[in-house]
Amino acid sequence: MSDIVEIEIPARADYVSLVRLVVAAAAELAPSLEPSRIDDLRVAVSEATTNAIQAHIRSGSTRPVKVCCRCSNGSVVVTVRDEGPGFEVDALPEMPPPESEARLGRESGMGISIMRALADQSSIDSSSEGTEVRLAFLVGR
Amino acid sequence: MRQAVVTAVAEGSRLLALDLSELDFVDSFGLGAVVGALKRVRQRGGELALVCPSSRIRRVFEICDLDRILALHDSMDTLSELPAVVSDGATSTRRQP
Repeated sequence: MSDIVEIEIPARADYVSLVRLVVAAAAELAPSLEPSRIDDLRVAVSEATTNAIQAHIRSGSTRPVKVCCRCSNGSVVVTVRDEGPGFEVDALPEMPPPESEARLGRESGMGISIMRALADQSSIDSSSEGTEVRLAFLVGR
Repeated sequence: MRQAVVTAVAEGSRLLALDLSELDFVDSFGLGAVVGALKRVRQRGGELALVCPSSRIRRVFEICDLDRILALHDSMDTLSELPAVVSDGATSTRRQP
């Protein structure tokens, strides 16, 4: 049995904080995740939503970004779906080593690493029709 | 914050500390702003430190290995030299005397 909260937001950066708020509130209603894990959830969902919004902005899409939060006794699973042009998940450029001069030239490109590090399970399915990011936070981790 | 750093560097500050002690949340956009600040300060021969007592905030920096190129401090007290201070509200700077 899961509680499901779904929201659709305009592809605008100022809606990221709303998604963060809704997902964290939904997760808090499900008495499962520790507060520190909800903090992780907020950051990871923020990254996924920001990327989805940017995909729509880049492609000129006026369609909404869709976020679904599924809370159960065992997990909180969030999916973020966009209808952007997609990307090659395995072809993402690697971040230069932190000590290299090139690293200071990269102010973006850290979001997916952060998502993957904070979620207990994550997946990215991307095609020319859009991208779906799935982030799972498991109880007891 | 970006503008506060630009202003502090333009005014001659070389040692800068970003005071993140009141910060409740940071994501990759915020990290990017810090990387940009670090680049700007180092281009002028300076250095940047972060005052970041929150383990949650610190962890996000560590995930991206930024703790390897930035000095992270628990409080202003552990800074060895008095830098110009840019608060996370990005509204004020304090010049190095």
